[in-house]
Amino acid sequence: MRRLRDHGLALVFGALFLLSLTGQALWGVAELNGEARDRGLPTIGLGEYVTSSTFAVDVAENWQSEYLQFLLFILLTVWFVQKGSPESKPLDKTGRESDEDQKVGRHATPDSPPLAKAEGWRRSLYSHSLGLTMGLIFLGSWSAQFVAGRAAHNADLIRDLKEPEGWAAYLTDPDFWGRTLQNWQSEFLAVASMVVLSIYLRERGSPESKPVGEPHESTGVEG
Amino acid sequence: MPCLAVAGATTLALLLAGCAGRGSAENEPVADTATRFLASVTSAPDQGCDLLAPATLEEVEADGEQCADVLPEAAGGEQSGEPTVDVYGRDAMVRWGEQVIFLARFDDGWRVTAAGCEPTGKDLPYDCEVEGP
Repeated sequence: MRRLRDHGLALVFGALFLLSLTGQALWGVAELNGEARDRGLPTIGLGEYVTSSTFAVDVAENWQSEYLQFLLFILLTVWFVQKGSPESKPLDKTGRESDEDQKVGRHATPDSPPLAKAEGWRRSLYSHSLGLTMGLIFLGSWSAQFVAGRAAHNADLIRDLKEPEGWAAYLTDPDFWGRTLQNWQSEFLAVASMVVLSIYLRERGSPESKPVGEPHESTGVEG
Repeated sequence: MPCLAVAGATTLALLLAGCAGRGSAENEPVADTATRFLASVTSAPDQGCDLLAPATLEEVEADGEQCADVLPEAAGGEQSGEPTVDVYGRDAMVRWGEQVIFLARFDDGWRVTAAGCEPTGKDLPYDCEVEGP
């Protein structure tokens, strides 16, 4: 029971993810089959739908934007600060910070991760492992969106009695950039809102908020 | 590092999913249906009509005409060389000489959704003598 409590946040979000993905699959196949019936075309089962390019592009376009959002949030907050925001570092801490601040090398503590104590490329890689991982998942998701998006778009084109597109044509196609940018704009707005609104507004008990009584001017203080 | 392994696996899984629907394994059955359809259009139109998608057949016979009477003139034409097949999921297009036909995969196999198609311009739909709703 205690183990569950200790990992509750990851477990709850993992469960919400699976429920949402299942819902997306169920409603997605219903929508696709509705369109197929309207055109006198065959309907498909859930198994075929979740392995189709249509489902893959719908999933990947959202994944890539979420991972881009966190990648940029992780990287830009190294150098950019926001006065009064709990999402920002203190105003005088911009940049990569000193080894002492970052507890690496000889400044590592006994319970620091072993790679923080390592020298050379291993420490360097570990020092950027969060950004690298987020960046890799972003690039993979965006690539998958491109590949699956072209396949799904070409199926639509053929259904409309049009020529399918090659890779180069799809790279400049409104379908690819429309899917990409409609997700990016919402992610950037959400981050900007969080950074600014958290200066003035509070959520008691949340580490994403400042303590309720904390002054608006306090920067980098989380509750 | 386990995180990088997870990221790599996720990326690979998504890319594989992204490739789903390319359907190169379906090229042969599509080409086979196209071959049987085009071979039968003039010589045995009844068999050609059996290869039409239900909605397309309904559309062809909407004015009370028999499919076998309409098909030879509507979808006949020369085909030479090798067919070019594009398959994406359950949709396919075949270009074969002067012939362009569109197909969809039903539970019992590929069926022709449009035939006797002429290009009308870049990015514009083909104008097909035989097509569905």
